[in-house]
Amino acid sequence: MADILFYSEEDDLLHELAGLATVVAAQAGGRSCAVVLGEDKAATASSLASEGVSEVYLFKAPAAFRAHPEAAAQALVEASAKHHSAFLLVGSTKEGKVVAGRLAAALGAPAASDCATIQLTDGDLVVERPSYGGRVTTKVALSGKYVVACVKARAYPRATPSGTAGKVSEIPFEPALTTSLIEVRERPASSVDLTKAEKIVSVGRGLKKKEDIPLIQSLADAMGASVGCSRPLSADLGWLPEEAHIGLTGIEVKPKVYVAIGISGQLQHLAGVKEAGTIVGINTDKAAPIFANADYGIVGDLYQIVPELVHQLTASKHK
Amino acid sequence: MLNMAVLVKHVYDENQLKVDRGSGKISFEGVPGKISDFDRCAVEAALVLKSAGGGKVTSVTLGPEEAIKSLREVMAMGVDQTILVKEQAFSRLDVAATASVLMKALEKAGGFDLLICAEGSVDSYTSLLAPMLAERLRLPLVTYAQSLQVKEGSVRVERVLEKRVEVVEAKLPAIVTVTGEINDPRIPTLLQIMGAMRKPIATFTLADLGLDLQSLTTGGYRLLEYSAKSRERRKVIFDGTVPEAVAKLVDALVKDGLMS
Amino acid sequence: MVFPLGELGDYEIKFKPEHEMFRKFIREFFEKEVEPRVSEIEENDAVPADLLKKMGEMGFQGIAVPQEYGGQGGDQISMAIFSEEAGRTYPAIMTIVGVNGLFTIPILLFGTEEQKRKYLPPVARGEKHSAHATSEAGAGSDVAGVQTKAERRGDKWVLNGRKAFISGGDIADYFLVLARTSPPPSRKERWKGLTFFIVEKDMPGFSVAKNMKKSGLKGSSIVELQLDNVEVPDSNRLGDEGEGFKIAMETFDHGRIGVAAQALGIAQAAFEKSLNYAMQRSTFDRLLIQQQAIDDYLAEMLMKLVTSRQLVYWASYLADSGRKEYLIAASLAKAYATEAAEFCALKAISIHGGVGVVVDSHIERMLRDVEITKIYEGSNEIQRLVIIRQLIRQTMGFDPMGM
Repeated sequence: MADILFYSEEDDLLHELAGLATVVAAQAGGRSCAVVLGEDKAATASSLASEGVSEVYLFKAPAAFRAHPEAAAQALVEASAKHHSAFLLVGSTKEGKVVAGRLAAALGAPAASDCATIQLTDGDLVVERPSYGGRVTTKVALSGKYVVACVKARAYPRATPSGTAGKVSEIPFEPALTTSLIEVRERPASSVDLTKAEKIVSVGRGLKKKEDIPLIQSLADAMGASVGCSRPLSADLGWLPEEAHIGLTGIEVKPKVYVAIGISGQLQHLAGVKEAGTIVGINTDKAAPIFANADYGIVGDLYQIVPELVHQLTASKHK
Repeated sequence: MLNMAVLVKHVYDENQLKVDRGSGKISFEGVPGKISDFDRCAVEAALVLKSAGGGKVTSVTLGPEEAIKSLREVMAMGVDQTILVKEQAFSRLDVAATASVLMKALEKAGGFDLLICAEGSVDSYTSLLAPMLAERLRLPLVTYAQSLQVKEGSVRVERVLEKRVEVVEAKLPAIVTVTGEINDPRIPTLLQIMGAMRKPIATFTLADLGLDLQSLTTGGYRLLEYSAKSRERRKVIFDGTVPEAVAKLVDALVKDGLMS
Repeated sequence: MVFPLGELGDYEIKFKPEHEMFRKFIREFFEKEVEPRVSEIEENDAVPADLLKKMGEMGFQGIAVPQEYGGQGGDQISMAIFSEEAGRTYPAIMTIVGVNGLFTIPILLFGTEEQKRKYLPPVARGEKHSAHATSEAGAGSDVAGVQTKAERRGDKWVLNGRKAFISGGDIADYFLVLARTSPPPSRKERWKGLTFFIVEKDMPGFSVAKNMKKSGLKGSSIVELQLDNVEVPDSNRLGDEGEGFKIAMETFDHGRIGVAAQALGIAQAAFEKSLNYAMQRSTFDRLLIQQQAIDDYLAEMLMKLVTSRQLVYWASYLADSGRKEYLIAASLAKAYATEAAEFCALKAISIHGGVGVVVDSHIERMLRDVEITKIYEGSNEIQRLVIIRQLIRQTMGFDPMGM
C-alpha cells in the first residue's frame, strides 16, 4: 500500500497529475496528495481538493519562491515524511526534473524522468520513457519505500471536478535557497502554443533566406496551421523564435498533420514529431531521411511546391 | 585559480543503433561509441572560462575501456587532467548509482570550484544527474545555462526555461548544467590531437573508490526492456509535374479528413 | 620479388591512434563548416573569406610542415586523411589548401634556413597563401618547355614571362616561379637551365590576370600570372641555378598522394550517397538495393573504392617510412584512384537516375570535380610512363628510356 504525492509548478500539468494520481492511488490502495507551493495558491489547492485529491499540502511560501526547484524539493521531502511509503509524481518540465533529481537524492529513491506512461504492476511503478534521441522506448520498474517519476505533459487527461471534498492542509514554509534570482525576462508568448497545435507547417535549412519566411506563413495561413522549424533556423540563424524549434532539444508536438518543408529529417528533429498523425515531407533531396519517415512526400523545389500548394488549397476553399 | 571539473560520458552512437525493423528489437553489438555531444559543449564552456580567467579543467568519466578513445578527444580540446573510472558494466548503473561513483571520483580529482556538465546525455537524457549531485554534495545548482560567467567567487548564469529566461547567481563552489545552445565546441588541430596522445589518463576501478558493482545495482531501478517500435509511415511519394504532385497531395489530405 | 616491391611485408600499412581521431575531427569540420556552404560556393565560384580564415586557423596549410616552422608536424598519412575528407565533402577545398604544399615542400627540401624561416611559418599558420607557378600555356606536362626568362643583373634576377593554369594564384601572397636562367645545352637536355624563384605578389611588375571559369572544382581559381621585369633578389632563388627541373619533379612526387587521396574522397562520397539512395528509393515495388543491376554497380564501386583506399594509404605509409618505393606507389595510387573515382561518379549518376543530373542533388558535381584529378599533378598518361620507368629503375637499376 502506498500513497501518491504529486507536484508541478505548471498549472495544466498539475491537474493532469491530479487525475493520474487519483487513479493510481485507488490501484495502490492509498491516498492521492498534492503539494502546492505559494501562499497565493489557495484557489488552486481547493480546486484540486474537489477533483478527487484526498489531501492538498499547501506550503505557505512567499509567492516569489513557488517556482523555485529547491523550495519545491524541500516541500516534497517534508510532505513525504508524513507518508510511510509513496510514489512521487512530478510534472516533467525543465524545473520539474531538477525538483525530481533533488527529491530522489534526498529520499534515496530511484527516479525516472520524461515518463510517457505510468503503471502500477506488482507494487512497482512501471514507466516508459524515451531514449537514444527518441528512437528507443525504455521500460523501467521503480521500487522502494519512495519512488520518483516525472510525467510528461499531455500524457494523461486533466482531472475533473468530482464532487469530492479533499482536505487542504496549510503548512508554514521557509525554504533555504542557495541561488539568487537576479532578473526574469518573460519569453514572448507565441500566438499559438505549438505543443497544442493541430496543424503545423515546419521549415528547415532548405529555406534560403529569412525573407522567405512569409512564403511558409502563407501556407500556414491557407491551412490554418502554425509555423515551426528545425533547430538551425532558430538556434543558429535566429530566423524563428526558440519556441518554434521542434526536436529533441526543442519541443515535442502532436499535431494531426505536420508538413516538413526543406527539412532533411535528422533524428534530432524527428524526435519531436514522432507522435504526429500524418507527416508530409517536401525536399529537393530524394535521399533525405524525411521521406522514409513521412506518410506523404513530394521531391522538389519548395519555392515551386509551396506556392502551388497555397494556390490549390485556396482555390479548393472557394469552390 | 578556478578549479573546474567537467563530466564526460561515453555513449553508444544513437545514429548507428541496429534496429530490427520488424520486431523493434535493438542490438548494441558493434555499435561505435562516442562522447555524448553536449558534453563537448560542457568542456568548451570550461575551456572558455579558463581562457578568460585562468584555471584548471579536469574531466571525469565513468565508462568502459573503450571510453579512452573519447577521452583523448576531450584532451585534444585542451582539458588539463582526465579521470576515468573504468567499469565495463557501467550501463547497469542507474543515475543515482552513477552519481555515487562520480562523487567519489570528484574527490579523487581534488574537488572543484565549479562543476560543469551537460543538461543531459544523448542516450538517456534524464536531466537528473546534476540535481542528484547537487543535493548530495549540498551545492547550489543552476541549470539550462545558455551563458555562463564567473566573477569574484560567484557564477552568473543566463538560463532558458519554457516560458521565461532567468539570470541567476550562485556562490562557488557550485554546479552548472549547460545546453547545446551555449557554444560551438572547438575542433582541435592535428597538433593538439598529437599532443593529446601523450597525456596520461588517471584510471580508477570501483574498488579503488571503495565501491562495488553489486551494491550499486540494487537501488530499486530495474530496466525491463528496450524497444524501438517506430510508427510505420506510409512513405508515399507523389510525382509528376509540380501541379500534378501537389494535386495528389491535396487529394490525399482531403481524403484523410485533414483539410477542413 | 613481389612486384613492385621486395616482399609481402613491404605492403603493410600501419596507422597511429591519432590518425583516426584526426579523421573524425576533420570530417566534423567539413560536415559542420563546409557542407552547408557548398551550394553557395558553387554559385559564386568562390570560397567565403570567413571560411578561408577558419581553415587557416585550423592549420590546414601546415599539416605536413614541421612544428619548428609553424606547422602541425603531421605525416603523409595525415595529409592523405585531410585530402580524402576534403574530397568527400568538397574537393576544391583540398586543392585550395594543397597547392600551398607545392610551395612549402620544395622550400623545406631545398630552401636556405633564411628562406624557411621567412616563408614557411606564415603559410603554415594560414596567415598567408602561396602558389606554385610552373605551368605555362605551352608547358604543362612538359615542364622543360618553360619559357619564362630570368636574367641575372648583379645580385638580382629580372623575370619576364607569363604563367598559366596557376591554382590559387588569385589569393596567393607568395609564388614559386620556374624560369629559364640559361639556354638548354642540347635538344636532349631541355630540362637543364631552369631555376625556381620565390616571388611576392607586391613585387613591381608582377600581376595576376584572367581568372578562368572551369566546369568543376568551383571556388578554386586558376589564373594567369604576368611578369614584366620583376626584380627578384638572389636570396629568393630556391636551390642552385639550373636545379629547377629536379626541384619541380621532386615537388610533384610529394604532391601526388594528395591528389590520389582527394579522388578517394570523391569515390567515397559517390558510394555513400548511392548506397543511401538505393536503400531509400523504390521502383517497381522494390527498393533499388533489391535490384540486381544496382547491386552490380554498387559492388563494382566498392571494389574500386577499397582498392583505391589501400593504394593511397600504402603509398602514404611508404613515404612516412622513408622508403624510396613510395614513388611508384604514389603513381599507382594517383592513376588508379582518380580513374576509380570517375567510375564511381558516373555510376552514382546512373543509380540516382534523373536526380543524378539535378544540380541541387550534388551528384553530377562529383563528376565535374573528378575530371581534373586525372589531369593535374602529372596526368595519368604521364603516371603510366613513370610507373614503368620507376619499376625498371628500381628492380633493374637503369632507366629504360635511355636504352
